[in-house]
Amino acid sequence: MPFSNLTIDIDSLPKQEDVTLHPVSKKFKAVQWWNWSILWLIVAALFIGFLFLPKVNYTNTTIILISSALLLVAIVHRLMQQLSFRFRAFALREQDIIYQQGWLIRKKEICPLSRVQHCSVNASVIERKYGLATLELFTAGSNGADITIRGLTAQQAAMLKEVIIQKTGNDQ
Amino acid sequence: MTNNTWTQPQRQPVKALIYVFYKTLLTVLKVFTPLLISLMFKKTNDESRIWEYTAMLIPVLALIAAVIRYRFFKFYINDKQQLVVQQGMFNRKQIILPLEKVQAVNVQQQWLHRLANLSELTFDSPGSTGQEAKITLTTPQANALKQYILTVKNLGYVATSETIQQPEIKTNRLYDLDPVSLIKLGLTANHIETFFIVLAFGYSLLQNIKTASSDYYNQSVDLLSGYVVYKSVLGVLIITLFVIAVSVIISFVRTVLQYANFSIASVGNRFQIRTGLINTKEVLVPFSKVQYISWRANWLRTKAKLYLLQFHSIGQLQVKEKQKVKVPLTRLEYLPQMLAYYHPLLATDTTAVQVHPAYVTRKYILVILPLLLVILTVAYFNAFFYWALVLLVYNTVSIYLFRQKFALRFNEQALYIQRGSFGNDELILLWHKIQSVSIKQSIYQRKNKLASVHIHTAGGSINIPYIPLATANKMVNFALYKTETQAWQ
Repeated sequence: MPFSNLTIDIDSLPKQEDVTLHPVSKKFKAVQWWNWSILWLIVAALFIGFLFLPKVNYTNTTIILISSALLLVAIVHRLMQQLSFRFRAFALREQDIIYQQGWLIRKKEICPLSRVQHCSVNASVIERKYGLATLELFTAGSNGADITIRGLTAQQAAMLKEVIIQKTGNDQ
Repeated sequence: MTNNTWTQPQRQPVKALIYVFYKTLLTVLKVFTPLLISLMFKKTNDESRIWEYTAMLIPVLALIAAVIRYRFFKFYINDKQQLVVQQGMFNRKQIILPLEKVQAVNVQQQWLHRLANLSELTFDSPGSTGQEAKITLTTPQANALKQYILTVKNLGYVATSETIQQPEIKTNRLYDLDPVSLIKLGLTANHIETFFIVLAFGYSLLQNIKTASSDYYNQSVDLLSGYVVYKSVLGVLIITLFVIAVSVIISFVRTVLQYANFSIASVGNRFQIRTGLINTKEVLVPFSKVQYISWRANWLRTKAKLYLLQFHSIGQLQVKEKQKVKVPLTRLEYLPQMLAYYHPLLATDTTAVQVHPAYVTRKYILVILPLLLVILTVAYFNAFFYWALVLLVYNTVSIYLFRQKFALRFNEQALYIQRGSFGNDELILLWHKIQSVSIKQSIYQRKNKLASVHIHTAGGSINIPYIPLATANKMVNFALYKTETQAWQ
């Protein structure tokens, strides 16, 4: 066994895989829908604008082909949003914070609170409309080491931020 | 130099203007190279004369830009012990670097610096601000500023200049690179990488000339490529050999210039590394700032038992790959000395965690196959891209070898990974240096109870692909236990 030389019994350590994660707010679905609509409205507008450029002279078949391709990508994008929604969840433990997301590739990020350099709570216009917020945790690590938790209610985000600030303050 | 010299906003020495001009000229030349090449191959007529005059204006423009950059560049240390760098005429930019955040002060000398007795100071700090703040000073000034900053930080620094003496700090010269090893290092450089760069450069040059003048192209280049390359096997062979020879010479010279005069010493609580023939560099690596240590050798170097070791420390993330300082290990016996202040090597007689065979098949299906289709499609229109197939074969074999070689071992303190494809690549990481971890699973991995673990540190990230989920979970639990019970700095 690869672990045989350890004197600490790994099996007795707290297990991150057994932690029950809290799903993010259901209202986040609406935020995702808005984000999706705005993004694809812009894409559609750009495409239509492009067709009206003086030098662009596409045949109807080409236009139909490109539009269907864009539509397909948009539908897949929406589908992925919906499928991944129920896996978006988080948990706060005494010493660390866990955030999981993704359906195609499921990613579980775990950040020890003692490694958090600073954290911030942001909310876009759409998020504010639904009373949601995004919590960002920054560590000293590379870009991939920072954690962004979306879909929290404003209260949850504020509470988490408070706990983290207290925790990191105590540790210093 | 008295301390309060640095508290006044000041310009760089006038001599620094030479270097500012040189840098501006290089930037301008980079932008205008395609234009210059096309001018060279254009037929002479009245219109192109105007272009020639414009081309002559480039150095003048660069000079003006350099003077403006020089005039508007000021730096000082304010009363909050922050280094302030102001620059820009229209877009005023101010970089503020708190001295307490400075992890290391680097002194670099390019060939032009050495001619004019100048040095360039850069700073390692978490985030990118330190690397952005570059100050060119005369060498004594640079050493004085470095000394001042390090004194303020109270880092227990030893001076490089003879005028300042701090005998209480022990200097232990670890080793210098001897000429034979330097030549070996040059001969075993990554020629394949250079080969592809030379090939790509040659191709883009051909394309540039082609677009610049179809006449010349038809007469000379087409003859060369059309007649020699496509119709004669000997021609292909000659051109290939020529490109290989050029690549070997380039990578040899580059490596020798980089590692000539290399020396490493332990000075107080840090490593002092000096290297370079024309562009010299001196880097200080505090032991406590090292996040993890890696050492690697390409296939040729594994045969010559030569390794390049790298200290991954804080503030090095933003540094470009070619600017990172690496320590050439001419013998593996030197390795324990390098690891002495970190963690000794782990024994390799225990069973290791290995990458699952599915890694290879998944990579082939998801990466190699789509790439093959893309290359074949592109090559159908432009036969030159059949060259890319060589790269693809190389990658295919690499993936296979990577899984074969990968071995992960750990004890209570550290994690030790051996990997590599044709060459060897090893690293050692103390658990408590970890910043955060993540576990990734694709649908396939979820079905087969596999996972990939990503470990993030302040010196870079480490990926452990396709290991059993149970092992991944145990490893992450242990990593969290270690990081949560121990501070990282």
